[in-house]
Amino acid sequence: MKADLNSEKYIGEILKKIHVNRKTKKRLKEDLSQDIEEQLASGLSLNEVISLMGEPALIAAKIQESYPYKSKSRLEKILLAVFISSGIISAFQFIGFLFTRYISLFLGNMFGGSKASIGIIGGADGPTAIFISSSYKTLNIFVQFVFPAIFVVSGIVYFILRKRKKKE
Amino acid sequence: MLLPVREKHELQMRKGVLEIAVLKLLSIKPGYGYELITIIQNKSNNTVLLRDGTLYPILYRLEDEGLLASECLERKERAKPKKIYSVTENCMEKLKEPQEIRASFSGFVDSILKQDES
Repeated sequence: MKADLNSEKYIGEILKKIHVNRKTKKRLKEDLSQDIEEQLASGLSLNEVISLMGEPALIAAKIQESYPYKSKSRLEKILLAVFISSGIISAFQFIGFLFTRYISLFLGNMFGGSKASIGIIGGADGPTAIFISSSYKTLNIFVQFVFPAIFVVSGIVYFILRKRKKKE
Repeated sequence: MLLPVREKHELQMRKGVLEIAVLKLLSIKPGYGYELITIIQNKSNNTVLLRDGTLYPILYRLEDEGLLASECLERKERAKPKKIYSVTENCMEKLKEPQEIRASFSGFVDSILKQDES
């Protein structure tokens, strides 16, 4: 059991260092586990097997040679962070709007609310002036749309950049 | 990690030769990764030390191209089934092609290299 856990950890270390698709990772996990199992069954210790196979970083580098990978640039990382965070905020806004009055009020207060008041000024015997006062905080309108807009734009730009990189 | 040009070409050539060797060995008898590594090491008198990191991408590429198929065979003595690679029907035709190409190509390369010496 302990050897199984340690060989799983060894394979996990290799897979962590590789940038390949899920299918390839699954195949690698199956094949590497089997290899280690066969070598252990032939009488070798786990340490001997690992020293024969090599360090996880070396095996990973060898595998990666067959799957060229271009790491994300700084701009792509920033775009991805903006995409995810604006997506989360937009999701919260949407949930608050749809479901709970309390949550929408709470979030509304956080990001600004709108107040409208109608005041009627006037006397019984005089002209009656109706004074309507309302103020919409521009912040409320701004935050309702800005985060979804950022989410969409950052997502589109990020995926275009990644697709262009893969084509190179 | 992008390799320098020379290393890239060496890698391509090695892979090409290893692919043919792997296909041929599996056409004789289906097997699995560690078995192939051992056979190649023995047949080359320990001059070719094939690593898992080199072999498995080759096997997966051949499988994706339909030249190999993998299946899991149940074993009585162990809980985990054994994964075996074997050649497909497509493979037998394809096996002939690389051998013919290699024969004509190596002849062509030899004639070019000899031209410099004369």
